Amino acid sequence: VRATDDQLVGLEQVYRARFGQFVRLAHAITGDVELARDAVQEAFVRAVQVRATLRESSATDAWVAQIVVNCARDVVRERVPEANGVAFEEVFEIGVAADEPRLRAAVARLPERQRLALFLRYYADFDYGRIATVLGVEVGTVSATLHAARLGVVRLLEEVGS
Amino acid sequence: VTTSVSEVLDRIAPETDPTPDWEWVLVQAAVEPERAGHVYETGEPGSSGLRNVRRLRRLTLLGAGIVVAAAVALVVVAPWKGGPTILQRANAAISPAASQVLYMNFGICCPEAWRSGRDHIQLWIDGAAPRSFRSAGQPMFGYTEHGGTLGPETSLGTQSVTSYLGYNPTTNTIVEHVRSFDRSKPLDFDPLTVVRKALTAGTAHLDGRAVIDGEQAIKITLTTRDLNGHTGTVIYLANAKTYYPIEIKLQSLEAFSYPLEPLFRPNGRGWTATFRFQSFEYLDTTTKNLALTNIQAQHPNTKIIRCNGYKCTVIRNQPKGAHVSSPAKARQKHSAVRGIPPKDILKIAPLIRTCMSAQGATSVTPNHPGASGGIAHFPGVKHPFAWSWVNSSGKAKPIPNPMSMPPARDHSAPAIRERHAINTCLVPYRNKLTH
Repeated sequence: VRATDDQLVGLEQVYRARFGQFVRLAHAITGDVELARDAVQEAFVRAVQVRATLRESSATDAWVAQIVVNCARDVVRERVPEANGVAFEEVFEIGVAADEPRLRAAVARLPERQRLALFLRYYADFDYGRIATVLGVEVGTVSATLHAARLGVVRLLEEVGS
Repeated sequence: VTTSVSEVLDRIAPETDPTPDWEWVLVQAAVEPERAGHVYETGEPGSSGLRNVRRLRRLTLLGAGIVVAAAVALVVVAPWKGGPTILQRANAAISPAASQVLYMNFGICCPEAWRSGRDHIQLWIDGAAPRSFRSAGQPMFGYTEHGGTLGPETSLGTQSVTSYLGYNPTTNTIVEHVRSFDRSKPLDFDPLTVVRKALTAGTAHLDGRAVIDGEQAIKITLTTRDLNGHTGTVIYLANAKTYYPIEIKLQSLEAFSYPLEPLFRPNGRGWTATFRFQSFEYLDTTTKNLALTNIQAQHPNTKIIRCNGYKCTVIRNQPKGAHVSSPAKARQKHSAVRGIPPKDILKIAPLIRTCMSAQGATSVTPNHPGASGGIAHFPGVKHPFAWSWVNSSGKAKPIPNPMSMPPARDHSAPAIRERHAINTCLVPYRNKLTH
């Protein structure tokens, strides 16, 4: 049965190769490693269910990463129900404020694209092409986005420190 | 800059070693097609919503069969090395550690004849050796509480009670049975034993998911052999998140060997018994909680009677001293009608119990689950009346055997009513009743 479902096999390979990385990615978004694990599990459940919509098997990991990010966001929203209606940036800050507040708050203040680019690069070890796929931008944009993100973190930390 | 950013990111989400569980993903995906309604389409990162729900549901349903089969196949052929499997988790979730007291409250369903009084059986098990236990709410043999110690921890799954005590509220005594049961047979009050046994032996497989009273559950189908070597099928449902038990369904059941050891019919027919769990939790090993596992601690000022074999039966039912010295003499004394084929006992047994109820008895139950004998309590009579079936004179002719009778000199209205009921309900199956 496994051999006849190539997409399922591909998803399983991504799962085994990247599970830990995706958990870190989700951890950075949710601020809780257990919630992160749940989010990754949930993401793969969704991926298995809708795998027929995956067009390029070579981009499976980037495709799943999109779902991981979305599931992690859902977790943050569910965790802070009173935040309904406020901007995601604010929700994110609330979601991560409980732990490592200075660092988290600083990173949370980055624009979302920069923050996700940073997470995908560092935690998931994605190349620029994959990051571009996840973010829905041109590959050339990724480099600039990452550079801006790194500078932004340093600047924000300096602000927080002062 | 890179170093400092790396440090920041390491602190935000440090490296961990999370346990992957692909099997769980497959099971979740296979049986919850409605979850596909909340998906994210390829090429639209960050877009959440309910697009193409119907199309995706169709796709999911098509894939569901494949994935279920894949999940089952994976369980069979690939014991994952990346972490505990669902079956291992399910087993761990129902096995108390040494520092825990396991508490459960469950009911037994169907057939109605032995359901009575068994809707809320409570069981406490101390996870540490010698694993004392106490069961309440399962009235049998006049006992309302049972206790003792289970076998050593390593025998979990094929456990046999190594010490057995029963509390009789009528006489306010605890009867400690000495050598009264065949040690080679399980004497188990824990309905989860059969599940642990199969999960440990590898005769269980994941069979998808189900929803029980709105609760998401995993479904595990297992096979097990009974004391007679007959194989039975058991459906086990556990909470999908906690893996705590929700329901055990024993199929093709012949009877229970005392008290809850299932016996299966070899031809696959038989009836179904369902254990439904109302509570399942682990308690800290505080003094108070440990006392819950100890029948003597619950009744500190109660007289303890040590007995064995048939004497225990006599003591249970005639604590004031009516006495039969041995089972053999009892059989001689109670010998009566011959010629009732064993297969007819199961037809006659419920008739006797129904008759007893019609004669005014309350709490009419089999004297153990699946038994052909019974226990009846008549209002105003101090001791319950019990009867069972014995083989008379070694000729394998089963006869209803009254295990106790009201004293002949007791001419009170309740006693007369009870004797009348016994004669009305049992005499058709015996020539003579003696006491």
